[in-house]
Amino acid sequence: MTTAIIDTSTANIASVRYALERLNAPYVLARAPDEAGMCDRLILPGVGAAGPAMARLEMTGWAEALRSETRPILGVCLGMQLLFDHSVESGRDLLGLIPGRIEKLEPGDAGPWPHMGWNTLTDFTDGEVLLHGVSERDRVYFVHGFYAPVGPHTVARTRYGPAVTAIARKGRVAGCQFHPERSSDIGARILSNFLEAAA
Amino acid sequence: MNIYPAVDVLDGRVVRLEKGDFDAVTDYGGDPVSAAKAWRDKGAEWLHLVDLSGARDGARRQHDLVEAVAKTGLKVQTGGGVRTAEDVRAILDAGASRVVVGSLAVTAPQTVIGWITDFGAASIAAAFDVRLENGAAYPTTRGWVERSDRTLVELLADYRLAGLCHALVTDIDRDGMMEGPNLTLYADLIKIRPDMNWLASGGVSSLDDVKALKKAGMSGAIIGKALFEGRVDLEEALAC
Repeated sequence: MTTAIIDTSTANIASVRYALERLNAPYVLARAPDEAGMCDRLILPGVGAAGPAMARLEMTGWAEALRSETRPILGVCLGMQLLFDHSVESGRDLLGLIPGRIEKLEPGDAGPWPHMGWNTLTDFTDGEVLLHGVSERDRVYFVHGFYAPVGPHTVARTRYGPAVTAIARKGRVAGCQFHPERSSDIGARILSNFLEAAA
Repeated sequence: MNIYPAVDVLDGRVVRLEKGDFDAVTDYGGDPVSAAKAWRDKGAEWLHLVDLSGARDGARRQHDLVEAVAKTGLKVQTGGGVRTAEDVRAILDAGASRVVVGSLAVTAPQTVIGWITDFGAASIAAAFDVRLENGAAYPTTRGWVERSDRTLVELLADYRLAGLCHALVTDIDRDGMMEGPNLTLYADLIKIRPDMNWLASGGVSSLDDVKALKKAGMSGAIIGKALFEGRVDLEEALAC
């Protein structure tokens, strides 16, 4: 029951590591796919901008590996966005594991850009395993300027100007736009739901 | 809006580093004090002096230079590798009006908060070299190699009680590249923290950039390369 944290860069992924440590969940940092051979699930953390992050995933072989991956995957923040088809942040194609495009968030009167702070989760899809024990209106912590508009793979929403995909899922592939590792008890619950779900 | 002509000084010479790289030095030559006097004579009130020697090696900090520039009547805002309270004190004692704190403002906010308490918020400016990721500005350290886990706005919340009021912000992907300042970044920061005095650092390449920064509500603009290379006329910038 080991989780691989996909290490996309030299940047700090300490918050995800500490969150797993708080849950007593064993993990490895995997810069390349062969370093995750023993793991039964994968976390793609939210580090970097879309362009450089995709370039690193291509370079390390992770992009190709993730496209044929059969283990459960959880993308976090930018990592969630990378699961989609395309992002206007970099104008480049992404992993394409979940259909849809990442657009620039235009909050209007909702507040400043980017979206930074605690916000509520709503419109849960019944049976979503990540939301087990989580209630509508529970709050989680967001930091993002781009977003996935609500679509067929949205299983929880928030609102900041437009409705924003807070959690997306297609099969084994799921992503949180918010930072569960920085979202206190609710975030810990979501992470442990991911860790405990049947692989 | 204040205009801060920027003079980067390495071993007594006026230079520019391309994207912060000590291996990509452009030597503008000459004596920094003469450069300072030239800006003063054109109406500058402030000089932004970057002590690159001090940044590389604290023992080689150019205190005499700060003193000489302060004696020209210019207010001096200066930094480069400020690491200790003694550094801050020595720079202020040399006649600087404001000390710019770089990496430590990101890696050791509690230390810098102590300096703000001891020396006063007017005497300290925090400089943030930020990288934009998914729209959020993340401070970087160690020559832009490492990135803070927290965004600039989150970090600045730590400084709220201490009263930090001067922040220099550089979008490192624009610095020295003559692509214009990142106006949307500054506008967003002003919107989120209108209580701060925001100083734009890096990227100013035309008078239109200066006008746009002023219109956005910036407290100051630090201009280096564009002044040295004549793309921006200081008198016009001060008048706009």
